Amino acid sequence: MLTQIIWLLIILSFEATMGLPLFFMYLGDRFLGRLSERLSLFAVFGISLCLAIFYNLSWPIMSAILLVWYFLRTAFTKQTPIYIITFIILQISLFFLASLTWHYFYLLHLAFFIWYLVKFNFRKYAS
Amino acid sequence: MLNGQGRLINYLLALLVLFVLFFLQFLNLLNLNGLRSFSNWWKGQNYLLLQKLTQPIWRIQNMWQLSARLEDLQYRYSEAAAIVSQLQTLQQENRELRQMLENTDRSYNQVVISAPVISFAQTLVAVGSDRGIQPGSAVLHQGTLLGLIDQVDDRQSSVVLLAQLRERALVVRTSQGVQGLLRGNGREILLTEIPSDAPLSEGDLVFTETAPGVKAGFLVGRLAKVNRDNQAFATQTAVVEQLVNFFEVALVEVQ
Repeated sequence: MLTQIIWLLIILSFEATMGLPLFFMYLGDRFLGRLSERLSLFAVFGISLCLAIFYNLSWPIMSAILLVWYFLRTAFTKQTPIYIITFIILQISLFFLASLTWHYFYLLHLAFFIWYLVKFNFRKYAS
Repeated sequence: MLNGQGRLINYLLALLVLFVLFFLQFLNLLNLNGLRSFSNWWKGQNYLLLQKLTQPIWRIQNMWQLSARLEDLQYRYSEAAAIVSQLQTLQQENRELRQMLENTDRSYNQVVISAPVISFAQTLVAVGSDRGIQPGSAVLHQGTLLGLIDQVDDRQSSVVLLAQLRERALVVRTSQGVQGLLRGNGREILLTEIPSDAPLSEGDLVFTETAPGVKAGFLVGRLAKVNRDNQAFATQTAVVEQLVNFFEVALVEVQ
């Protein structure tokens, strides 16, 4: 578990350098899925602390946003479109809250993330 | 698997923790500055690593554009040689203005040198209220205005680059003496509110005029494109190209 947390922190540090925490949130979400329900609920505070540090945001506000996201994620766990929509809304709110600016790395990063999603998720459904 | 009651207790506990966090922040007891300084250092290392990784791509791209760049440099060199005398006059004028401003209640003595907190996404400088930085101060690199200080934390401040300057406009003057307002549209720096008959030509240098927090005579950039598409408009707009990139400089001055 510790290795996974360090790995997530390394990913977050790179993503905070480039743009949005796409991989961090996606892999963090999968990490939460492996924890017990109570532990995962409180791990959300840890994730929001990391985001608050790396994106210069308020910890309580990030926690509130992530708790709402966590609630939606658990409530609609089997509905992929709703999960994707909440994920996109979360990323857009992070973009505006952290006052991020556009950069060519965004496109590269986003393209890599989509490639990763397709390669490691949707192919499973296809096969 | 938790039952409904257990889940409800969990959510109530989470809400309690959230309330405590808001309360601690309200009391200013949530101090993350030390961790943020560490994260900024970490991001700086990542930035250097990413630059090294992307350097071959930039080199290939630069080689591709080498002849065009050479022509551009020659043009800039001749342009620079022509305006040296003008800059000397401006420097003198700037010195006099500085003396005048220093005799007012405002203090323009303080110049803080800082490294930008390197991140492709956020524009920050590694100095904050601990070094006396105030919102609205100018961020410069060798006399070129790069942006203005926006929010000031204890050890870092966010910078609004000129291209992001939407809520405020700066009064500027071109090397031909035409005054206008400088704004950003998110991507480009625009020189606006120029009368349509005013002489504007590509290559003109743009300098600041005195404004709150900004002294006169700072170089903003040069006119890259003048929009005269619609003759019906009473004003014309030009795109200003900066000669220095915030993301590429090692140090900036905050005044």
